[in-house]
Amino acid sequence: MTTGKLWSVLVLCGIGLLFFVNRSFVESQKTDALWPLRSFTAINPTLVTNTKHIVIIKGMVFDPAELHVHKGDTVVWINKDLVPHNITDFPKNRWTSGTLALSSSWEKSISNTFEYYCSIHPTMKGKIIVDP
Amino acid sequence: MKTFKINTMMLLFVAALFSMPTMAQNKTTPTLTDAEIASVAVTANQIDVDYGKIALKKSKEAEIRKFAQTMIDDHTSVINQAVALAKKLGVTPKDNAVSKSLMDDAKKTKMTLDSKEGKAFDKAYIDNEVSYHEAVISTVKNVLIPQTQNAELKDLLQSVLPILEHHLHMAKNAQANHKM
Repeated sequence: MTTGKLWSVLVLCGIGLLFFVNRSFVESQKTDALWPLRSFTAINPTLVTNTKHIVIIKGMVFDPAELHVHKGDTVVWINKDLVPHNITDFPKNRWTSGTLALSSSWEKSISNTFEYYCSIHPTMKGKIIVDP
Repeated sequence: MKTFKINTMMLLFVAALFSMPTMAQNKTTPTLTDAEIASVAVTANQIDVDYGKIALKKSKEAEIRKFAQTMIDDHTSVINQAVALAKKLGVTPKDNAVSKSLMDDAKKTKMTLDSKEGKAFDKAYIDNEVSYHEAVISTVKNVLIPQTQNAELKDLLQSVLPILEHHLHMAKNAQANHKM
């Protein structure tokens, strides 16, 4: 191979390398350009995974007795009391969890605001409020 | 000198006045060990389970039957917890003056309940539930909790109090509906 040809190969390799590096740079810029958008989608509440909330039943009360959630969230009631309880729609008894034994739990997907109580111990009351 | 004598006598009189309730309390409050306290807790709960079973046998009133079933379920659940804790702590519930006195009173009450029928039974049952829960709450608060040594047993007794208070509230509501 002559020196001239060698130079030509080297120059072509150089151009190829420059093109490759430049392309990667453009891509990384594109990625960076997307970053604020991704960050925006991550905090957009309509795209966030639904949250699970916990209500503890102990000492004959629902804790918290009043809970604010978003539509589609799930509420889990855990019975940590010494006696069985239930979670029942108040005042119309349209639905119920059935008896919740000790240390057991029950969950419900929330679509609207409602009040509930324990039909075994009727003074135990709670409320789930769906925030707009 | 005369004033000093009068003052001393007055002080002694005041001291005597203040010491009277303490003496009375010492005389009436029984001293119990944790094993005896566990026995009182189990006995007190079992007695109300038994009253509930009598009510299910004798009453036709829906409110009375629902209340009786709740008493059976709740007090059985508390007994199970108390027995499990006693086992865990290696404590064998031990009969004592308080648990014996509870059983003697329960024997008399069961005889009274057995002798009544219909509305008279419903009234006698619910009246007894009010007074029994009041007495048990007072015993748990003033005798059992202050004397319990083990922290877990004390916690259990403290957790039982809101249940008993809730039962009392339910019993009073039912009592208001079954006045004769």
